[in-house]
Amino acid sequence: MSLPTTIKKKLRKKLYLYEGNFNHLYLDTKGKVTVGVGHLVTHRDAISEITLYTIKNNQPSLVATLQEKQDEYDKISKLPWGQRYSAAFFKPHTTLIMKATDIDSLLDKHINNFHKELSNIYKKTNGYTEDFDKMHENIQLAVFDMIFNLGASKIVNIFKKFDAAIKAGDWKKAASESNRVDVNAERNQYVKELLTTAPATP
Amino acid sequence: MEKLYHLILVSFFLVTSSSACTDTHRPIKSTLNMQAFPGFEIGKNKTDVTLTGYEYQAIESETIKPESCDQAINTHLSAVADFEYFRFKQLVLSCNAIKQFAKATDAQVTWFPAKPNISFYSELPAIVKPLLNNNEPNQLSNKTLGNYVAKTNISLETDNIAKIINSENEIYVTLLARGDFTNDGIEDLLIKTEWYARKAFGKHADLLILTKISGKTRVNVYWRLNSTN
Repeated sequence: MSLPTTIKKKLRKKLYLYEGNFNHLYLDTKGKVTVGVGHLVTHRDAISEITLYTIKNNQPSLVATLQEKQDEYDKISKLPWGQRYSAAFFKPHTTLIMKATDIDSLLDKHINNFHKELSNIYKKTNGYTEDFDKMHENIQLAVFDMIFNLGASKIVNIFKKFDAAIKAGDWKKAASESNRVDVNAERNQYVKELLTTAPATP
Repeated sequence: MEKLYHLILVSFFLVTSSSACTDTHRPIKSTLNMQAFPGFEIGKNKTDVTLTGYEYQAIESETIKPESCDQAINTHLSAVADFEYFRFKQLVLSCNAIKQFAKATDAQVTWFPAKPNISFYSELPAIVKPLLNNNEPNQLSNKTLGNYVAKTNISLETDNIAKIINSENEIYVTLLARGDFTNDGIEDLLIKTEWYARKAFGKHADLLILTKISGKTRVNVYWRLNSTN
C-alpha cells in the first residue's frame, strides 16, 4: 500500500526542517557531496541519478549533461569542508541546480524506502497490534521520525523497550522510551506528543 | 602572537605523539590537536576563545554568528535551524573540549600509546561511540569498537582520526587532546566521537575523557558530554 498524500506531505515538511532543502551540491561536515534534502551522492557516477539544470536568470534552464554534472561534482568535492562550512557556503561555487519537483521526487524515494522497511517490521504477523498502514497516523508519524534518524534496525535492536511498547499498543510507554540522546529537545518532544495523544488501542 | 601560540601547541602535540608509551616520571606535556579546531584563537588563559568563520541559519533571525566560545555555549540549541543542529552541536562540543583542556595538567605517567594505531582504536570500549538511548550502554558492555558489530572495518583517516565502518554505521574517533584531566598524574585522552547512520539521516556526536590507569587495565570512560538520562 502506498502512503496517503497527507502523511507524505507532513513527512516531507519534517525532513525539510531536519535536513535542510538545498537545490545545489554541497559538502556535509565530513566532506561528502550532498544535494536536495540530505541526499548523499556517494560517488561521482551516482550523480547520473540526479536531475540537474543549468541556470539562466537564477532559474533552471537546460537539463545538464552527465559531463556537466560530473564536472560540478569534481569541483565541489575539492572545496574545503568541515564544521565551519554550511551548505549555503557552496552555493556561489555551483553552476547547476535541481528543480523543487525533482528534489521532492528524490526525497520521496527515501520516504518510500523507509515506508517499505516499516511495513516489513510492523505487521500483525510479527506480533504487532496492526499492520503499519492501519496504525493511527500519529503512530506512523512518530515511527517515521524515529526511522529517519536511526534507521530500521536501531529501532528494533537498540530501542527495544520502545519497540516492545509499540508491539503491545502501549503508546504512553512508547513515548517514554522514544527519547534519543543527541536529538534536539523539540524533536524528541514532537514524537512524544504524537504518541501520548494517539487514541488507545481497543 | 596567537598564531605562535597555536604553532607551539601543535608542535607539542606532534612531539609528544611520537614518544613511546612510558611509565617514567618525566612530565608529559598536555597537548591539544589544533587541527581539530579550525577558526579557534585561544587566549593565554586557555579559556577565552575567539571564533572566526562560524555562521548558522537561525530560526527567527537570519543568522547566528558566534564570535567566541562563550557566545556559542550560551546560545540555546533551539535558536538554531533544525538542519544546522548537528553542525552547531559540533561547535559547542569543540568549545567544551577547550574548556576541558584548560583544566588539564601535565601528566607524570602514560599508559596510552604515543601514536594510537588501528589496533588501539579497535580495542576501545564500544560505549565511546555516541549513545543513542539510555539502554545502549548495557547492550554495548564488554564490547569493543572493533567487535560490537560484525564485519567492522577500521582505518586511520589521519594520525588523529580513526574511521570505523560497518553495514549500518560510520563512526569517527578524533583525538582532540592529551593530558591529565583527572588530576591523578596519569595521562588521559580527550576524544570526539561522531556517529552517522548509513541507512538513515542520523548524525550524533559526543565528547569524552578516556582514562587508563595501568598497563593491565582497560581504557575507561571517565566523563562524557552527552547525558543518557
